[in-house]
Amino acid sequence: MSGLSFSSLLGPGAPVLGLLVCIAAHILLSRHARGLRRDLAVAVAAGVGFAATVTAACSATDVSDLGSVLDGWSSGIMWALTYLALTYAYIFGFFNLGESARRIRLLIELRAAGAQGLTLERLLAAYNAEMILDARLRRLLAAGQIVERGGRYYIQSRSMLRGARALVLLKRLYLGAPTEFEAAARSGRRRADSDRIARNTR
Amino acid sequence: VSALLTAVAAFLAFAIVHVVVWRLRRPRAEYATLGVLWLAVLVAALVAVHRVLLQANLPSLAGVDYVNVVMLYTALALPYVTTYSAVQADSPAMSVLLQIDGAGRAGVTRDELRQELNDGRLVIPRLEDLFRAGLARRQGERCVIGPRGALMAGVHTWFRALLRMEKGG
Repeated sequence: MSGLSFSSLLGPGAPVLGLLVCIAAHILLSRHARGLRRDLAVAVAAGVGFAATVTAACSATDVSDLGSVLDGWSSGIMWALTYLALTYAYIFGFFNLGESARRIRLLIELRAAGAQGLTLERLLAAYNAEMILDARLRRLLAAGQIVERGGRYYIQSRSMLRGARALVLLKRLYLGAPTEFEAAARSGRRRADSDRIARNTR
Repeated sequence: VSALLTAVAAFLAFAIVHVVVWRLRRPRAEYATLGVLWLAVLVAALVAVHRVLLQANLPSLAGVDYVNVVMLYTALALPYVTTYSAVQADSPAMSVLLQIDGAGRAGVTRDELRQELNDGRLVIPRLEDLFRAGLARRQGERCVIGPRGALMAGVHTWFRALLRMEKGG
């Protein structure tokens, strides 16, 4: 292993710098452009971060040091891929967790309750399936994925439905079943856990 | 080019090992096991590429190439694990879409959705996840947050406040 110096690390560091710029842009847009749609703010921030990645990579790279043209392209592709993957992880693995993850919301309710915690009944009064369903229906209607006619819901766009079907395929691949409940029923895990929670938490 | 190929090949190996291990026996501590697999595959890939280049009398990777490999491999693993969390737990929005689609031209009412998507389906399993991961614990009749859970909730609460956004979920 050779050639590891501070200047040589500036190129690989470009995607991390780009991610930090993306997060900063996202915070600024969320705080100061309140009228901007949330998905649009995320997209603009990701674009600004990508521009920062390219700028940093170009200014940190001595073209004569890269060797062949192929090596130059390879480095460029690596850094671009690294930035895109890091940004995806930030948006869907961190920001979206706070936006829609049930586990995070439950943790926030439990944290607010302090050391004495909450009974299951109180926890479900603060956060329950009714609220979750309402929020999802609202988001799906706003995004044009579903439509309501005469008190009944219908599919309007198939884009997210395709994603849902792809997830079912992945569940079959990883869990051997189309839903987490069927997978758990097969392993007997969910029933055992639910019995224990009902016994100990009520 | 070797660095790019090494990182992509290592990531594909990580995904394949994940599927194989999960189909053999799905671990209870899923994300901790994924972390161990991530590290094991990375170390194996770096050792393998070093040996292959040595045996083929090719120049070994430079230090910066190893950094590039670790960065890209890790960056690819993060969204992969994020996507897996949507596989591991049924998403309410996806469940709604699949149920509406399953009803076809008849569509579904809110009450019909509600019958299927109840607390036992949407909330209790996620609470079980928190207990299983040690983020919260049962204390008599109560659910109490643990130190790691409090840290996680605190980070998200702080970040949502920074974005001037309301509580999610």
